[in-house]
Amino acid sequence: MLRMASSFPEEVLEHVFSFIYDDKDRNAISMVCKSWYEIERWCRRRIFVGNCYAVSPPMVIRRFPEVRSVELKGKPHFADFNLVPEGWGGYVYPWIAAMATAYPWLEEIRLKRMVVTDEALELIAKSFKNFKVLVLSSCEGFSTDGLAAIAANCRNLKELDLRESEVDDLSGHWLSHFPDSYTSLVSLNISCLGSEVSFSALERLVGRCPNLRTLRLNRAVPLDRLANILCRAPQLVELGTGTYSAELQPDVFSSLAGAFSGCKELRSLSGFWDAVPGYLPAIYPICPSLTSLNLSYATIQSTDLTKLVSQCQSLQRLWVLDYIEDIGLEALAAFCKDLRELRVFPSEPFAQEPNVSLTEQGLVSVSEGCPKLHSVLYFCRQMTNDALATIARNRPNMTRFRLCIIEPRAPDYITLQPLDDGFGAIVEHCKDLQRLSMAGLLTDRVFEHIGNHAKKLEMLSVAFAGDSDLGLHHVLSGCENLRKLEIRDCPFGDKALLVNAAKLETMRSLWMSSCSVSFGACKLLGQKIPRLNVEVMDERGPPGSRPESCPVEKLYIYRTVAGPRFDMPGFVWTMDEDSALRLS
Amino acid sequence: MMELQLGLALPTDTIKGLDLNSYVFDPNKDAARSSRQLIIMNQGMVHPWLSTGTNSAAAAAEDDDFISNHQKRSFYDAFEEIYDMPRTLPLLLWSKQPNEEEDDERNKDHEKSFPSASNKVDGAGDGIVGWPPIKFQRRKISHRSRKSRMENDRRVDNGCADCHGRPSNSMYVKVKMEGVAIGRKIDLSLYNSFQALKHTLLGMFGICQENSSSHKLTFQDSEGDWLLADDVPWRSFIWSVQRLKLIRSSR
Repeated sequence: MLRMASSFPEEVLEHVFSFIYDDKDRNAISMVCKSWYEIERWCRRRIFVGNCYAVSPPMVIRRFPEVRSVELKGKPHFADFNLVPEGWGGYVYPWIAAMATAYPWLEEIRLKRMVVTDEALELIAKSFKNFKVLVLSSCEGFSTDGLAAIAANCRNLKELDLRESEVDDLSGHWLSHFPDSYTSLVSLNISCLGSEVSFSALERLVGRCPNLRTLRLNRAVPLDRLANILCRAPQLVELGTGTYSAELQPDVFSSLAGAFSGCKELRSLSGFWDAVPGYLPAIYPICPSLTSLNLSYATIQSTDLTKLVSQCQSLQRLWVLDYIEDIGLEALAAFCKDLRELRVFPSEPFAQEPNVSLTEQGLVSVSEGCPKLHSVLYFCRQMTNDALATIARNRPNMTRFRLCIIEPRAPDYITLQPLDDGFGAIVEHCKDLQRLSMAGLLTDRVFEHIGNHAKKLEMLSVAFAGDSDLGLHHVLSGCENLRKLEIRDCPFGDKALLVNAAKLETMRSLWMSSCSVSFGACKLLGQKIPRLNVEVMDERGPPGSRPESCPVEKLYIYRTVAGPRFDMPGFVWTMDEDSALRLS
Repeated sequence: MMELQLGLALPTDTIKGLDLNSYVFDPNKDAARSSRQLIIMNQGMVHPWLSTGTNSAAAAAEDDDFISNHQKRSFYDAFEEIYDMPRTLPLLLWSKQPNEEEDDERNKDHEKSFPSASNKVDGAGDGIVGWPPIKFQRRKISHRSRKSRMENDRRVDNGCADCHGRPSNSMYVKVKMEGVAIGRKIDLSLYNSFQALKHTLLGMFGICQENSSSHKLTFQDSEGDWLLADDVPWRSFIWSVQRLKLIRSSR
């Protein structure tokens, strides 16, 4: 093997490696021998860091000196639901600062759940001459001033995508900072912004960028301006409308319908805030070619929704509010045979009583009618074991299954039994299941099923479930491919964690909040397993001020080669050898 | 017969960039001693916990006693003896007496046994933090649509003149100023920052901008507590605000 490896000149190997893009494959290559490791590290162009604290910027830069594209993720997933207090961390500035000197030819930065400041954006704008792609997904901490810096300085920018970020929206003026000479825009997503951008600046920008294929507008763009924008970009493939509401006027309608008809390449639609049913027919001409439709902000009712989806025979992805009801989902099942992904969001998540007729039956219908359905996110108010078992048998190709029943610990509403067997059927039949979120009344038995069957499971979300540590033990000891585990409000304590301590180093992270893990156990884990950061979050004050047996509020454990971090706020403590001394 | 139950072997191929081979295991460790302490964790079989504490096995069966001070001593004692155990083995030797323990667990009232967020549902309908698990942007929309239905009814009655044809997804909350008898209402959906909000509020009550520091903005959150608006980020504020009050700064 050694002889074979050294008989190829470096250039040949490098050329061969240039066809390998996947991180896992690249990692495998780098472990063949020292010379392959060396060659590979010099030609790796794309880095993905799933937890920004798992490794430090200098370590990445030292190993991979010629990177062009970086993707980083920061806060734990439960930060989306307000479970991670402000100030927790996930700051991108240290990364940008390090890369500004190390990677002057950096082209792409993709961030998720990170804190991005205007300083960081300004540094990006002035450090990377060939900067092309900025994607800020669920990020926060920056304002439209930072965006202005990007617009003004990044001459080669192709993609600016702010999806679901929280931006301090000082004004819409930033968009006008794109110089008149700037024509390279391919993708712009400003749907999360609140304030109005100058419509004329927007129209001019759209008009002078011939390669523009994705445009997601914000709510402040009124419906009567949409036609003008579309006419300037008939090559658009993905469009997010602004507010989809206006007084019904025939001329507005006909120019809108005409503009949509002119967009022959349009495959994906989103936006539709405040959608008014009278304007929906404007998109009917393009419905048959749509592959992706996001109506999750459209408060239209089931009749109009049913009429709409019935025309989308090519639909692969649908995001919609539960206004669609079971009846709309039956139509979906009947007409949209190419459906791969369905997400149904709750229109009234806090109401006690159901406001729509959406039940387990809707999901069963879609599972029957759509043979390619493999990704589901479904919010509902009732479920049965039978329905789950039917879905499982219908769709053994399911890879992502996330169910949320609005009421925590809701049992099978017909038999009043826990939903253990239903979810058991899911993991048993769906052998390729990668992601699972469970709901309803669940005992340790469901975890036994998961541990026994969910061998490909990579991410599991659990809330208000289980009886004892045995539940957690089943998952940690059985799920061989588990990478991310997030748990809230479950009666899991120290035992399962400590027995399976070694497992934690094979995972990206574990989140546990409102469980029963004691401070003593956290200290033990932190001391004994050096390559884990065991972070305790407690807003009641230092955990050392309470007995060791006292459960911690929140616990976030992640593997890392960078050691404990030092940018934590006052309510986060890292358990390690030093802290044991400091806190005792 | 002592079988070794590995928690999990550490696979070397799934970890990016981690050097798994740097752990140092002392091979001179007394093998007999460590194997005596290795415990089976095997699908409900009952095995006593062999630690130095003589009554630890019995104590371990009771979940409540487990984390008591008494147990803590023998727990740490046990750990010290197995300090040099290879990393593939568990840190804790857990004796599981399944029948006893499971019954205890099942009978336990979950809500009493751990400090979870309460299940109480207040008037706002969202008593549990972060539940249901929807993102901030979607929460706001539904909040808006509920209030906007109320507002729509009101608007139909009053013939709202200053709507400018805006779509009705408003988020009206009551505002009071300290010392002023009549309260007002403001649509929070129109704002993205405290600065702009405070500006408008002061204007509503006739406070000119030079005197803007004369009052502080406070709000009542979904749990009924009154908080200073500037102490929390905008996102948390919008998430939980029920009503507003302007109070004098000199307090």
